[in-house]
Amino acid sequence: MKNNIISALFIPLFFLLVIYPILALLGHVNGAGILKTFHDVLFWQSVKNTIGAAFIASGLCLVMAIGFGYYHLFAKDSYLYRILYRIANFINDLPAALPHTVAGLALLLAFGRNVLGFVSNTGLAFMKVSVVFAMFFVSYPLAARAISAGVDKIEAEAIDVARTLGDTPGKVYLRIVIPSLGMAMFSSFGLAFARSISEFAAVIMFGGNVPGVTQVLASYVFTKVEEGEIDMAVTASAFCILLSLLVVGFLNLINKREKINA
Amino acid sequence: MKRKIWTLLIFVLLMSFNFGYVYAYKDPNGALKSESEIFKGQKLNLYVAAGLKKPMDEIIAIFEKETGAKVVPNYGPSGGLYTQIKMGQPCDIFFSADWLYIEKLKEDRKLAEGQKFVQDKLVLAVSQTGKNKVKSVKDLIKPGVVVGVADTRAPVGVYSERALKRMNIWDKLVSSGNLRARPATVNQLAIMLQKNELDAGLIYSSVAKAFNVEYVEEIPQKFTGEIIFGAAIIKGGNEKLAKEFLNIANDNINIFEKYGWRAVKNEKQYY
Repeated sequence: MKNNIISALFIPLFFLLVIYPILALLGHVNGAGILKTFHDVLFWQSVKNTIGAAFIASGLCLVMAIGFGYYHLFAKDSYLYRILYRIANFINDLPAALPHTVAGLALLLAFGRNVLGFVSNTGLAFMKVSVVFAMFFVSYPLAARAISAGVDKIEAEAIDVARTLGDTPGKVYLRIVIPSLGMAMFSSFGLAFARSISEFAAVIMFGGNVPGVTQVLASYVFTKVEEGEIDMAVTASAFCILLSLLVVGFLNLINKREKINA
Repeated sequence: MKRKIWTLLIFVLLMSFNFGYVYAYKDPNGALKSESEIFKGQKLNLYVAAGLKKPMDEIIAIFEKETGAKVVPNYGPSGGLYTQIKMGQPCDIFFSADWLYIEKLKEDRKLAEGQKFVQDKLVLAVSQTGKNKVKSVKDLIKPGVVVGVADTRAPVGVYSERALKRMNIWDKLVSSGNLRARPATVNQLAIMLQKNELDAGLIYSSVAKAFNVEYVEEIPQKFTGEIIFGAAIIKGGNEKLAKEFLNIANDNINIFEKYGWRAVKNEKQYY
């Protein structure tokens, strides 16, 4: 009975608040808008920039997240680890809470030409690699959370046995924990990827937002809305949704295969 | 359990603020008032483009002192404020960074009275490093200069692109690869210049003044078009009080001039 009350509340609200807006957007896609958008070279360049940068950024997120997972698992092992973990865990929440324009400004001040002037006349800012950095900065916390959740699911006994047999924490992590993270790694990567393709505020401040060079899809959409090109904005947004669905669908597919194999 | 008690406490605290707010602005006596006190205790919903905040804060202080009315200011991007008014949020008077929104309000039949309020100029601003490289707009296409122009989503981006196109510099600037940053707002661009992350960029003279950024050239109006900040008294609001506010703002236009705007002289356009 309880279930029914929950469904009676949840299902209508879910359709109204989540599904309906997405359908409303897709419903406004029209031929003229598609034609105009798909003929815009800058649109395709922003798509290319977004996918490429998001892919590299998510990879970087995953590597860092796996590092975070190590300290998450072995925080109790030593005083130094505990301190490191506490700091990392606390900082993890920061990028999520920062307004993203501020995140972009922070990156600009940290890696701009006043600090890294020897790299180029803009430091590390306003280049394609800056877009990757900006995406990484805002997406990493999600990736780290997904990995630490995965680490928590691994049986403590397997780790304890390996430790009593004389493996160092590093060996245990490489040989036992990482191989069994499987799905957590995919969801970590997927979350970071989805977060990265929707990011624009930090990317504008640090990446530069120059159309055709460092502009990303989310920023392209925003500019088209403000320019009054609603048809183009709707088409580009629908494209964003399809892209996200593709990523999520792919992750689900892998998830299923893992379960069958297991 | 402890947590619940805390949540409850915070909730009660917030509620009490709320009541305080409501009662604080309630008119204590509805009796007849003298001519000078006609506005005392009234409330003015004021919507202001974020860029005008500093001078407007001074105007609000003068207005509140002179009339005894209370101002509730709402600072934000002009386009966002316009949308709020259009959607029916209570507003008595609106100061927009772009005359376009005043015209849109007229089309929406929300405008009781509109006035061209102050004027701004587009200037070529330079950073600490940039001032050795850039003396005029032509220098923007010299090799190695790092240039920022606001994105066209902000009015300043539209003015800048238009001006550079009319000056036959835009295409050369894009193909030179010198254009490295297209920030979303004029303030973001000003910060980049102030922090010396760019060499040069086009911003408003008022913004250059507010962020303490130097500029080397004013872009003539024939290239940018008119850059007008407008004031609008909204239909259905407290129009008398709004009119009084606009009068006080016009009487103290020198405060806006102090911050880098210019008064619109002899061509006050009323609808």
